[in-house]
Amino acid sequence: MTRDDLARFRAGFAHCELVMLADTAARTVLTFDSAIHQGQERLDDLCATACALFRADLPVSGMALLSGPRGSRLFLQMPQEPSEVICAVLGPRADLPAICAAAGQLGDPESMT
Amino acid sequence: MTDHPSIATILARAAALGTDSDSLAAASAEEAQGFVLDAIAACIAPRELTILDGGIPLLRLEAASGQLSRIVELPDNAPAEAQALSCKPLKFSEVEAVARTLARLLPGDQRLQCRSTPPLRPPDPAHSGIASDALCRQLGLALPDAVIPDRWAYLLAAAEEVLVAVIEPGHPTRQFRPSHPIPGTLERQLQTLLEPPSPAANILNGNEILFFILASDPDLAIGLARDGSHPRALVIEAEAMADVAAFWASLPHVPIACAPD
Repeated sequence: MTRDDLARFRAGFAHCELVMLADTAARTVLTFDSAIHQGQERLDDLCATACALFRADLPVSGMALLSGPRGSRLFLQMPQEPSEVICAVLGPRADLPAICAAAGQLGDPESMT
Repeated sequence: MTDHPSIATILARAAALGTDSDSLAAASAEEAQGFVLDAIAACIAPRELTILDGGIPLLRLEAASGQLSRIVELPDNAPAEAQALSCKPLKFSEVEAVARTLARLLPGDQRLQCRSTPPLRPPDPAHSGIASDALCRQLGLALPDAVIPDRWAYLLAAAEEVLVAVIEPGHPTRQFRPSHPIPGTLERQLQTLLEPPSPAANILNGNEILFFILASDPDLAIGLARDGSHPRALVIEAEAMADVAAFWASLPHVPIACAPD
């Protein structure tokens, strides 16, 4: 997945501020696209949350959403490579059902053909 | 990253709240009217606001200091009462007529956008206009924080149709599907998750809920929350997870209809 793929995805939705691909095995950010400049520490925070969600003792499968008054953060494991996680930062009025469905397709190359 | 803390805070807040908050798919009248009132409230310096519905201009407003100072342009088919308000400085005594105009033009089920530009001419300082708060009250809208005493209870009531169970340490599990209670193994697993040190404790920020699809049963989703030191979990249908999460995130930002003043 390239930065252009993430940029195209982000451009498709209002209130989608950042999309990032993280490698939770290597605990590193692979690529990202954002509406405004994001500091490395913010990307690292998001990566650390993805690691905590999918590599800790939580019985999580595939998708997780952290939602609150300041918006939502979406985490989606890539079906082909579960250590890779798509992370998105979304505003409080983002269309989560549509974004979750589209993120699922983004993470599944077979559905893109 | 800049080492100026105030700039860092501003960037973090912008990243969380959104840079494109000038568009909204407004399903209800409350959402549509709240969107326009938010735009008026956000105007500190004088601005001309063009509200578009489905990409077509709906109305142009002039606002400053959180007050609606003028209605610049209305649709041709707007009623006579509304047309009489346009292109003149607004007075507080016109709050009822302005609210009726906004209510007519913003019935909901609209895809709204707001474009903000400097006004062609400076507003008349002798006429302050009508405060967005006053319009909000006149339209019978209130911010959720002012009218919802218990947001968690409000969420449970709103999610009633997809709610399966609620688990809180020290309380009996509340089952919402008596004919299909959650398995005892899942109940024990969630009670263990809620005991300190919970693996979710360091992930949750204030008022956040962590929703996830359950690994052992993909038809179910879990919502883990924390109220101070009080953890709790809800079990919902997995298909509804994104809808429930969206409701929780937008809840503080969407006005609620209440009795007008």
